[in-house]
Amino acid sequence: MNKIDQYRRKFLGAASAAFVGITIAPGILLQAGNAATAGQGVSDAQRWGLLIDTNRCEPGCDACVQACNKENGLRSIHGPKTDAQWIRKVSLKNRKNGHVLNMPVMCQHCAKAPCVDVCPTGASFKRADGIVLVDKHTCIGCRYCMMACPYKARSFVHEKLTDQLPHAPRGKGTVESCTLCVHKIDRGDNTTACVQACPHGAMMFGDLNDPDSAISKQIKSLGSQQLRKKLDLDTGVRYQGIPV
Amino acid sequence: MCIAPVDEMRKNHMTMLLHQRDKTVQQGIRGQPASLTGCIDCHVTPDASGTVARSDDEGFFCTSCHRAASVKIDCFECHADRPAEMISQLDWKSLNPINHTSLLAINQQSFPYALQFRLETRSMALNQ
Repeated sequence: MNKIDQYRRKFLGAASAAFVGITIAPGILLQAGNAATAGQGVSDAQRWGLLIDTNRCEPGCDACVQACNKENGLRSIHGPKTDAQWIRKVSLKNRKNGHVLNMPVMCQHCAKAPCVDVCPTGASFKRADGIVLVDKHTCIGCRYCMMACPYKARSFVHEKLTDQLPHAPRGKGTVESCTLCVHKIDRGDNTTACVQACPHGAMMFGDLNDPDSAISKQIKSLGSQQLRKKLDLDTGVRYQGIPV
Repeated sequence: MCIAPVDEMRKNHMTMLLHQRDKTVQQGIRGQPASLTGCIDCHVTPDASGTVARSDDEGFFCTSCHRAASVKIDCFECHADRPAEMISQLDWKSLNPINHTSLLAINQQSFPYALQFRLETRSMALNQ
């Protein structure tokens, strides 16, 4: 047996061992959800996401937006042209039949995020568990990511801020967007402020990698759509009720 | 009781915080001994009249040394300089809530990206 064959045999052996490890130990993977508090980093065993049912989302209701603003300390400073906005309510009308779609649109937490690709400093990054964030320590405020985002999900902080919340640092000269309430996830809350606030039960939070999670079961039974799917970004925020 | 003796903290607190900040933001490692929130929770306390020193004040824990050592930090341009309880006592509604009606109008009419997004989604709906 030559050297290459030996190497391949060793590799395949190790790979199959790892596979068995995953299948027999689902309990260990489940516990990894709160590993962040135990001093270990987050892992790609989870992929956090949202599922939004547009048929339940009511026109004129902005409970999710208000809850987001309160949770993260977003406030108006110089009016709507420059105010930060992490969630927008969007309404779309089909002119042919008059059907109106209502939905909240926020950072879609793409698996292949354009904002991460274009960032010149590495400040825009994707965490192992699929959450797309801005590391404001390295953000230089160039706003390339705002240009790259197909969902217009990011905001730039134009003004000097005061009274930020300890779990949501924000500052002048940096870009920011929905963090999927990362502080709540790391705390083990297993939900986000917008999901908690929705009075119509139109939003669901969960682990897209776990086939037994409520969100995965819902997607399995009714399917889900991505906004601007043809960009092939594999978004973590999924919608139901949008015409494909 | 601090996380390390005073001598060590004076000499190394910046290294500890720098090391921990990247771990927290990028890897999601929280609840470690070195944390800026931890510093603030212990070292920022109200005086007898119930007021606390803000990060620009001479009496603020960090500022009192940094002024003498001629060190300029920008931690508190983003981070809270008071414990969470003190900020949560502020009336959130009185602090200029965002006007959503006008934001909605802007998003749906003037911004080219929002418009593009609308057009694309609408064409998808029409092709149904």
